[in-house]
Amino acid sequence: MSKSGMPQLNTEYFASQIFWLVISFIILYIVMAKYALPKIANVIETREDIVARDVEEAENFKKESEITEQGYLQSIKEAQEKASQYLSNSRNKLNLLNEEENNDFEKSSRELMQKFETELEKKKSAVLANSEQIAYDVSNDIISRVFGENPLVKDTLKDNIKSMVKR
Amino acid sequence: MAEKSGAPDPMHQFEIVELVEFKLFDLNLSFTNSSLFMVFSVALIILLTLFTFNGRGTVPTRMQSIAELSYEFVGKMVRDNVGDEGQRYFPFIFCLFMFVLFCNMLGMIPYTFTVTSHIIVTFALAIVIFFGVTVIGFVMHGISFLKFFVPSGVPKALLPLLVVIEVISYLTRPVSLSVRLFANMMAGHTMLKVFGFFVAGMFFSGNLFIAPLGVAPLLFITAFTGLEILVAFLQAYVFAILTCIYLNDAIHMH
Repeated sequence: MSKSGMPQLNTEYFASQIFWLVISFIILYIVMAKYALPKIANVIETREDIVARDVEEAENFKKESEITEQGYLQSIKEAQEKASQYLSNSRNKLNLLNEEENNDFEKSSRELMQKFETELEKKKSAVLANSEQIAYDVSNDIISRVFGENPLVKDTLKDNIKSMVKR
Repeated sequence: MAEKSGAPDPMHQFEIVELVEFKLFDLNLSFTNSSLFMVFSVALIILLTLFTFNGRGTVPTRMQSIAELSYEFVGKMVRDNVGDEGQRYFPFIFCLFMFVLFCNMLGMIPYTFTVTSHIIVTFALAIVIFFGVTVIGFVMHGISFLKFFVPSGVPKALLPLLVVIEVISYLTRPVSLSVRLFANMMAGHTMLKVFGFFVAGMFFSGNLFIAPLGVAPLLFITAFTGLEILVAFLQAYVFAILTCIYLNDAIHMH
């Protein structure tokens, strides 16, 4: 048995190395193929499932939130429309009320004005009638004092005064 | 014996030492340091892949991550090189890769024994792969698997020559596969040992001029250890991927 040189070429332990290699490798193979590898595969698969499920859930949540957002925007829009409707409604009502009051006021004031006007007219005509008499009296008095009694003058004067007052 | 001859022997680390004597008929099947490290590798692999999965949690622990990473690494290797038909052989490739890797890596620890630095071990693995792949080829394709040795699209006159070359290259596969791994492991470890002797010899030479220079081989050995760790991984990878390629040849022919 040569002890020098490469121990790798020493055939004495070839059988032993092959024997133990076969035994340990077969044990390794059985344990790996039967227990370890399916377990690892299972763990990895489970994790992938969990991740996929989580992603799906997140996507669902996202969709839900989008729907909620749309609903929110819709309700805001509706509320705005409603508010503007209320606003225009009340404005219309207010306008109507205003107009009514205005009309009432105008009507009463017109009536009042008319009343005053007729009264004024009445008083005016009364005053005019009076003033006609007074003017006649005064001018008649003056004329008769200056020119003496003259019935012709009296009539012309009366007509003249009448026409002047009328004007 | 190394001490007796005076000069340290870098091959001494590859010596097989009987730990438990065991003889079957005339065969010496003793449990040796080599067997010990085979068992040790197997035990570590089982520990890593089987007992790190406790909570089967969604977030893996560190050790669990290592096991899952190796699983996916080998799984991708098989898928890319062999395809879906290769899934049946995935456990074998996984065992092969992990076994060679752990034997290589354990051998990087000082004072350990490197199982894969022995040609008989790597050759045994390679010859099993060789026969296994050949059997798979014949089972899947029958006698037409022999067409594998006939390259297509070459002149008829050249065919006999090419068939011979193809057959020889096929037959040398187990040799190249096993020698590649064995030689890499042996050469790297021998180199480390030689430079280790330089370091020790120079530091303890008693010569004040030579002793400080021992730092140079020390630096080299440090860098070289890093390289050797890379080689240890790379050779395991090469061994596994070549097995995948041979398997692919057998399943898909050319």
